[in-house]
Amino acid sequence: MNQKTENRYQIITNNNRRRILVINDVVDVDRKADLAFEDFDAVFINVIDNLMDRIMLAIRLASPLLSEKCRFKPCYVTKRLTGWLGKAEVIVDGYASQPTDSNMAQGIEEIYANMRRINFLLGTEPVVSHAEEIFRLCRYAISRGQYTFSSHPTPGLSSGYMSLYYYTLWFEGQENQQLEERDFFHAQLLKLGYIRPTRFIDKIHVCPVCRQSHLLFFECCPKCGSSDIREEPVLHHFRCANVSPESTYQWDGELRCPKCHHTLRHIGVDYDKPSSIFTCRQCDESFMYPDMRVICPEDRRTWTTDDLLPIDVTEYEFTPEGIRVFANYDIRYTLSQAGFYGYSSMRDFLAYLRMVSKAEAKQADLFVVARFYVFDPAMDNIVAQETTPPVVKAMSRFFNYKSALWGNNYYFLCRASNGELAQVQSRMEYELKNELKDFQQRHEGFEFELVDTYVYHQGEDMEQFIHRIEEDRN
Amino acid sequence: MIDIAFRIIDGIAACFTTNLSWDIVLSIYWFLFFIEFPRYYMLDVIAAIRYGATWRKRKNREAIARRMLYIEKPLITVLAPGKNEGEHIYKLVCSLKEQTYQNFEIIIIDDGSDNCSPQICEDLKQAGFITKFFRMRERCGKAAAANFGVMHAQGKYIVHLDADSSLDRDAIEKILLPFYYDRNIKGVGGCVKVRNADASLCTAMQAQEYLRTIQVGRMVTDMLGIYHIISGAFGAFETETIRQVGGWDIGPGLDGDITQKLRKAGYKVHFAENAICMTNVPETWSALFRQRKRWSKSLVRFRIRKHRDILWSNRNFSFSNMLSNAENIVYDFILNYVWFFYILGLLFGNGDRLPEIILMGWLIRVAFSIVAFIVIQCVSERSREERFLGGYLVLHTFYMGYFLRLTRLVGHTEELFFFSSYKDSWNPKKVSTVARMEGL
Repeated sequence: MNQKTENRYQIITNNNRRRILVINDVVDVDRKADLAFEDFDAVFINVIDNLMDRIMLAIRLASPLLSEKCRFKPCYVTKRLTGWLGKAEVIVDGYASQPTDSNMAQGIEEIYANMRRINFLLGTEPVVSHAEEIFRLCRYAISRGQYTFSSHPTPGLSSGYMSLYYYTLWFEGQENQQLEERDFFHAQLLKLGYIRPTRFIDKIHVCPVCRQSHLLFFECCPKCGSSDIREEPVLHHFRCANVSPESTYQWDGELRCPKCHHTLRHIGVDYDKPSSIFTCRQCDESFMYPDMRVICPEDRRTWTTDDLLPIDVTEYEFTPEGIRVFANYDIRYTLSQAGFYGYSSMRDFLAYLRMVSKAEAKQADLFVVARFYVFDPAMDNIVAQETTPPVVKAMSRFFNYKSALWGNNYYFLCRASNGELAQVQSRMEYELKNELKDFQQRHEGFEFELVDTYVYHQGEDMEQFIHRIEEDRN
Repeated sequence: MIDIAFRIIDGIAACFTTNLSWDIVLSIYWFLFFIEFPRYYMLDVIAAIRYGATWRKRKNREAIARRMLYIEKPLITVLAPGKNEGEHIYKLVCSLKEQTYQNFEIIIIDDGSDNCSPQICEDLKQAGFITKFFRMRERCGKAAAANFGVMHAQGKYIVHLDADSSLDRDAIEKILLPFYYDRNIKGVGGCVKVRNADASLCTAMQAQEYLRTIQVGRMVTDMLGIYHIISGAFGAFETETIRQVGGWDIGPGLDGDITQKLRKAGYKVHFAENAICMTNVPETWSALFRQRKRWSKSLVRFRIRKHRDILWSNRNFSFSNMLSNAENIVYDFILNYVWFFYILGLLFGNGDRLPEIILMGWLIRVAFSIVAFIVIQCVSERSREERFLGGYLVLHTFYMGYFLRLTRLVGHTEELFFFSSYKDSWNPKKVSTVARMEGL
């Protein structure tokens, strides 16, 4: 390692003879040719920067979840970042003042001991889809002896509650986009008996469309729906039985009955306040109990409280069988990946299309499929079925598109609502073309061309649509 | 008809006494013949004859008014204040849903109920049966609750109902028609009948009494222009006017009070004998005694004390207003005391032939009641269903002639000398205290 490199990262050995990769700056560990998986046993992130995003990026690039060279390795962060990591804290094994800290050394040994005890296999598969990210997260939790999907209210999460899957969130909006996938994954785990419910926590009410739990509640006028309402006490004048809002009694700084014009001097003797009343400033409607209106800030729709979707928040834990299959890496092909965005096989890609076309989808939902012709000479060298083509790895940042590669056809799918079709379509083409262009510049001989973009409307025959997108495939 | 009745009575009387000549009969039963008969029986007969004679004219007038009503089709506010009336509200709104006139809003005011009434009303509101529901957390009294409802009324007319009432299908339409007979009519009283007539002897007697004193009795006062009580159980008012006169004042007897206020303000009131409302009446004699005592007190409190100015020149003096109040005071108050002393005189002055006098009096009253019942049958819209009440005519003397008179006597005396209406739990104590202090 040269001097400059040494400043950015270095490997030191602790008292237990464990080699620790100390990262002082943002380093893309996977792309460092001089760093191999076998070169270090743990990671210590010592990045201090005014920009929090840089710190987060440093953690992400050396994450035991996303980095291939750091996968499942103990990851510690400098103590100076205690309390600053937010959701990323969950993939950090602890804080230490320096990489040779005795507590850190002990923690590293415990993690490896646990992995040995459950015969934990590290595996070699890269993370290219959200499905694999979640698989890896579950495996990560098991490697750390965390067998419970604890749920507690968490700020910043649209679902309101933290559960294991949300630890993989890195981007704004990712939570909602991948909600269906997580539900699908969860249902599959339950069905296969790999997890089981242990405790009911709460019943929460969420937006029936996007499942946002951070909702805005308004008291509003039952007539016009305006929330421009005010509550006012109602005064009862004993003498003449007049009952009206307090404002009708206000007269030159004193309370005077609008009916008999007597002055009200003493509460309980002259008058009392038996009730209160709401008045709408918009339509002048008076009412006793305002209606409750709920606005979802995510999709800006308005609901009544009865419309909200009740959801049970439950704590789950891995069953012994679940721990075994996750630790031994037997699960990947047990669970179908059909429900996940990101890269999948063509069979799963089509299965997903069939599944969502049958499901109770929103009428406004459309599917946009972009089909590229790609030619990559590097793919000819790939022999094992499991190995991911380099172009797929390069495109893995598009977690919001479901993609599949079949021969020389590369398909990308995304959802759109009726009104935003043109916008989504052009953005999709622009993003994908540019990303492929970047890949082309880095890989000699790579060629690509946008063949067509297909739009599926709800109610159409899915088999015909599939036939259309497969046409002239080979 | 009267002559025949007299001959029958004479014949029967002759069977057991020979020393009761017509002169003596008239001198003994002068109260019956010269006070009760002309006012309560002769006028009933005249009213019935007039009712029949003007049938076609009334129908034409109704047809024109109905057309005007449906051309304008104003929004009506149905107002039902009450305490612990939750169980009755559903029946009420069901009968309202059946109405021929449908452009109305329903406002329910809960006057500090301490049972599940607020929940019932809130549920009914959620289900769309009630337009507006307001709740007083503390009891304020019926007048205050009604006034609160008036404040929120958006209709052109307010139909005030007791929560335990239910209406004939065309009752709302019928009670609105008089507003179109004459633009100066600002209050219309409906005809209240007894729903639970078959519950006990007590309710059957009241059913018969309601037919006489309300359906026929108010036809008579309306005919004479001295109609003085728009029933609280079923009355309609022009909203603007009710606001103008300040709504209801502290009760009891607030229905008579509001009618007097309208009359004093120079407006006309009308009785709609064919706008029928059914209500439940007390089923026991003790409950009935308490209710009537309370009603009697309101006569002293409002007609003699509060509205005594109506008897002489006030700003809006009118002879008919004076007469309406005077008639009520004379017949229901002064002559009640006269009757008491008359009965005492009979008891102590005719000790040797008391059974004969009582029996004779009963026979005379039964004869009069038969006449009155025939009148009821002539004017009632459901005469067939009410015919069974004729079987109770033999008891009419004891109910109307003695029980109600004595009850009124007690009520009047208590109120006159002890101001007992201010201690009545019908109003909240805080309200009664202020009313007593202020002499209201």
